[in-house]
Amino acid sequence: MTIMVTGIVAVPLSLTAVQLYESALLASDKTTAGLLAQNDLETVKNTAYDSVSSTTVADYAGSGLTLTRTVTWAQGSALTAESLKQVRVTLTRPGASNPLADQYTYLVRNVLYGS
Amino acid sequence: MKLRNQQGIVLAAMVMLMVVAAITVLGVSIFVIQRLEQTEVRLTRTAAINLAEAGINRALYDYRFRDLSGNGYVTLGQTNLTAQRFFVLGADAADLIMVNTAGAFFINAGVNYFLEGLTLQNATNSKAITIDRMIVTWDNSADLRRIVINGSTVWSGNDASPVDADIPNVTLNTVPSTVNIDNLRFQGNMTGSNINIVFVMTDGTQRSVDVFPASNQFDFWLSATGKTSVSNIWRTVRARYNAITGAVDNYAEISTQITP
Repeated sequence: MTIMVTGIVAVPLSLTAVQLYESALLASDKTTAGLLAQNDLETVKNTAYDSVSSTTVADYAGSGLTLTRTVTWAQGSALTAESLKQVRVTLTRPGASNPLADQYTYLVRNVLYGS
Repeated sequence: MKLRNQQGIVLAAMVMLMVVAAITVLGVSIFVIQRLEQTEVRLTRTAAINLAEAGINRALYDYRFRDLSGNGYVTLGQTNLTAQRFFVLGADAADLIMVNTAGAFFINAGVNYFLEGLTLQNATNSKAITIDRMIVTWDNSADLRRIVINGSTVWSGNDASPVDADIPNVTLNTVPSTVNIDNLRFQGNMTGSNINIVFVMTDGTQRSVDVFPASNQFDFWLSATGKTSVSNIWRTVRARYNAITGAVDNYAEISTQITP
């Protein structure tokens, strides 16, 4: 009787505990991914416009996550006087397809920030 | 009998242990769920501010690109960056009036001093903006006699500073063309003076501009709200762009949502 009751309760309890552990890891990784994505965007904003380009970095900043920065021409091109770049930064776990953090912004050529 | 009692005690102990374990798991569950929610909120807030910044940069690109072949202007409203991410650009009339003070100068004719070289422009093609009044302030004892805009005398008098000039409405239309403030005629020596004009718009908003001495000033304000369609979280930034220097010289987050 004791073994039966213990089995009935312990199995789902253990599965829930495992799920909780994975969720806690996910929350931790998402927090890290969010901070690293924003850190990369801030770096990009302080980089010369023409030098901003796509890149992929495995184990970014020792986090175990992969950073993928995708830069595309939203308007214009390298040959036009004015242009706009779209920057997308994602952080993913190795081998995963869904990003933990996914951030977008635009960068504009020839505009200075600060007086 | 003794054996059955022992089994009962073990069963009761196991049940209590399971209850304690279940309560612990429940507590930890609540903590983890809250942490996941907080993380999602943080990520969404970051996404929103990045989208708002994207909105400002998109508008500045539009202005500068159109400025290559005529007067620059921005288009207000919503732009979707992806299926779920968008920004909304907005501004009131005072934000959108651009006063070019770079070419301001005085012509002296006897006792009269004519302030010339000022121009106006609407910064958007999305809505017309209308000037209702001009409050002119200067720092000497000369009198303001006349204001001429776009070839028409819109105010005349003989008043000392400050003058609240209730002019016929001057509309800057949605084809952003340049409107000349032909002159402000002063009677009295205006050498070395400082002149300010507050443009009071028909929507009640105001814009104060130091129009003399000449300066590299030809700017407009713009606000952009970034948002995702999967959340109610939004963030807004407000920026001032100087079209002469090509610089955003004022930039801050504000707590007003811009809606389409």
